Amino acid sequence: MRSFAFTKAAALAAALLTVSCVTRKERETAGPVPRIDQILPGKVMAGVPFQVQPDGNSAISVTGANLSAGSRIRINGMPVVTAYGDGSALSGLVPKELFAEPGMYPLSVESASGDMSNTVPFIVLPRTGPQPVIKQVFPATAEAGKPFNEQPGGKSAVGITGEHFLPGAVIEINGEPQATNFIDTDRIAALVAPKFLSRAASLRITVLNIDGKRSAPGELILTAPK
Amino acid sequence: MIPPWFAHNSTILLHDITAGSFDLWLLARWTMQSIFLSLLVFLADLLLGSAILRVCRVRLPARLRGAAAIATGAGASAVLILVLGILRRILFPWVLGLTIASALAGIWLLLSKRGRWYVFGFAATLRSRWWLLVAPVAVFHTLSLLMPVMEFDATMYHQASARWYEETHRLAFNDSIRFNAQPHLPVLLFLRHRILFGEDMLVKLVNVEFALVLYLALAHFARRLRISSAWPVLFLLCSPAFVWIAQLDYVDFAMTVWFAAAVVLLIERRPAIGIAAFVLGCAAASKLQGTVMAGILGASYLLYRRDWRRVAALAAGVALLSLPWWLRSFRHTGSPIAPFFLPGNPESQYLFELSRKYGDGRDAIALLKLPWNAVAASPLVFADVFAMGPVLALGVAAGTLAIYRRKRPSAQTVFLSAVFFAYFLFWFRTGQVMRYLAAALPLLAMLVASAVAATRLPRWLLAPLAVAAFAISLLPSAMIRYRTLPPVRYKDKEGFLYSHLPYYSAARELRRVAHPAERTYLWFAEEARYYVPTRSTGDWFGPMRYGAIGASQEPASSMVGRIQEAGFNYLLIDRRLATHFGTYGEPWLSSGLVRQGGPLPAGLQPLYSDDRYALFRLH
Repeated sequence: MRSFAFTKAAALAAALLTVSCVTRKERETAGPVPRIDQILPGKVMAGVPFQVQPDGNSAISVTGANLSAGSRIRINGMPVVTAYGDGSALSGLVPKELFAEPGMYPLSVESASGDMSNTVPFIVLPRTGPQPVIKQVFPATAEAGKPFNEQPGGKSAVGITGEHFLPGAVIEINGEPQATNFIDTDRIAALVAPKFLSRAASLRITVLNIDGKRSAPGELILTAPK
Repeated sequence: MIPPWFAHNSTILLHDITAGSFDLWLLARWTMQSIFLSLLVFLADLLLGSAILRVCRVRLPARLRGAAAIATGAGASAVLILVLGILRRILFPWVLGLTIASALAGIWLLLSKRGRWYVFGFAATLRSRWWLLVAPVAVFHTLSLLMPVMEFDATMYHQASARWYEETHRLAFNDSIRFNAQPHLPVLLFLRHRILFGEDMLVKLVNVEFALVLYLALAHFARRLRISSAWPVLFLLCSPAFVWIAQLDYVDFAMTVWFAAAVVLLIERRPAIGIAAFVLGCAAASKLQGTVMAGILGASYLLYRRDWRRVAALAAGVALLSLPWWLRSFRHTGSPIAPFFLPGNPESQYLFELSRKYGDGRDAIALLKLPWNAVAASPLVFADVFAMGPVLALGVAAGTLAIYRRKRPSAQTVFLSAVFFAYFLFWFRTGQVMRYLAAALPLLAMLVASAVAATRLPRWLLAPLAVAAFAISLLPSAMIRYRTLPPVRYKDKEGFLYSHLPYYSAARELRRVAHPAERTYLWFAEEARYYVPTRSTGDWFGPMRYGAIGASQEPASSMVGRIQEAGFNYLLIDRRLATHFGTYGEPWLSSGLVRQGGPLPAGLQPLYSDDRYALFRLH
């Protein structure tokens, strides 16, 4: 009787061990690896704060996938204080030492479990550079009094392609600075003040970089209303 | 007594368990597998211990036989690992072979002798219905034992030593690991587990073996008193500090249990003095505190039994088990119990000064307030994370009741009281660290059990006591403290350590760039030692202690220069502690080592920096 009970107990133990066996492969199962799609801003000026927060720190945003809780943005290998959201975005506070010198620094995201994302360049541009160059103005012509490239507020916008634009550069129309959005070193745009658009004229467009260098003028021609 | 974070953390833990992403089946299988594998090792100890009892012709009652067999087997296995260490053979095949050989030797010795199998003599204990009540709590605590290595002293020296021996394949002395010269026999059992299973998360399961010994010893004691074994066990569960040390990967729990087992063996009418001496020797070889406790026990036993030969046998057991450690310490430090008895070395004085800072005073008022402070005062006053709980108050109440009901205590009770109070007074006058007093709680549990027997407390009182004890025992649960279940997958373990150990991210960075043979100086970051992949130095103690590296008003560059000259490749700094504890003055505090963005001394390449830790490569 006792040996029968012992056999049952041994069989139960063997069955439990078989069922409970956790393989190394199971333990090695990896979670999703973080992925970076875009960072904002991707280019900044050396020593010039960007996306300034109330406490004076500069902030960078990262969008992508699997950016889970505990993930950290690393710039040039250094982790920055990172806040996470719904898994598709992170934001980090960038210490000024990390954008003090011009260069192209690798930016990646490290998950809590140590997985590294793809790397994207975080470009710190020098504070001075060549003279900006305007290649094309969009639109080159428009009808006076009629909006173009209309923006959510109803204002018109002018876009410029060219070279050597720096973060913080400003588009000027007839010498007057406009509300400008730096997109990249070869693209820049600004909202056009309505007073320039009421009558036919040739508007003188220039780009003024933060180092004081100004481009040769481009032109936006406003034709008379039809 | 209830930590402020307890309710919040419990809610988060419950939320995680009920979340859809949680893999309960995987955790359950992992837990079963871990326990099953550990049980095989414990079985080897049990067989070895039973064979030793058989060879020594020791006759004991069933439960005590079980306790003595496991305690002796575990001690003998630890000694065998020590021998492997001396022979420089701490390698997987040797440790596995030794474990199998000890089990086979145990079986052979048992089979070769006539008579009953002593191994299964204690199986009757398992029939108790009591286990149905205990099982859920036991499962909860078992899960806490599967947490990664992360407690402060474990990462600083207990488990750091185990890792060091595994890497060097011998018991190499390391003056960078705190207290490495002192005895630490249970570390060798942790070492066996980590080598056999290749997973450091399982080392705390060694405590299951000792919990079994303690239960069997107390169950035997209670049976002799003709009371339920639940009384002393539930009493111990009422102490968060005690349950906490039972969940830690420190040497304290093993020492506590070996000491308690020795006491229970000694109070038998015909004590197995050889086995008791061996088990007491294991306690003494666990840490210096164990040697002090063994001394107190020996002195008290002399008064109790007035038998010099037995006390001499006990002293021989302590000396024999401690001798390898004393010799090792003497060879490397010049003192058998470093840092004591080392003229000119300030560390023993510093240890005493540090110990005297703990507690709420050493006068009569402090003594009277202690049962209350053990419940209500912040446990940090007593240098620990968890409070002693109501056990001291319960002990006082039980003692008072027993004195009221029965005027003349038995000689055994007087003996147990003498040991407990002598140690208690030593603790009270030296270092009031709750963990150190918790080591004597099994004695208090025996005294309370004696009081229960003397006063014939009704059995129904066990029900409310069980509810209270089980609830209190959950307070120090590592799962609730860290708000999560044990990680099973490697990635989850990484995430767990990253989330809970503030230095882990810097250590991980070091793992990416450093070679294991390189050297890292840990400046105020000694708790990172276990997870730093290189050889590391830096502590409040030792030849390269913080005080020896830097001096007040000295520029950071000259302090870094000293570390460079000593041949270190990396420097890891805990900036917060460096600011808090640094006695180095402004030139140090304003440097880039401590302050983010501050000027860095020459020859340092920043590798990692967060809001607390900074890692540099030294040129």
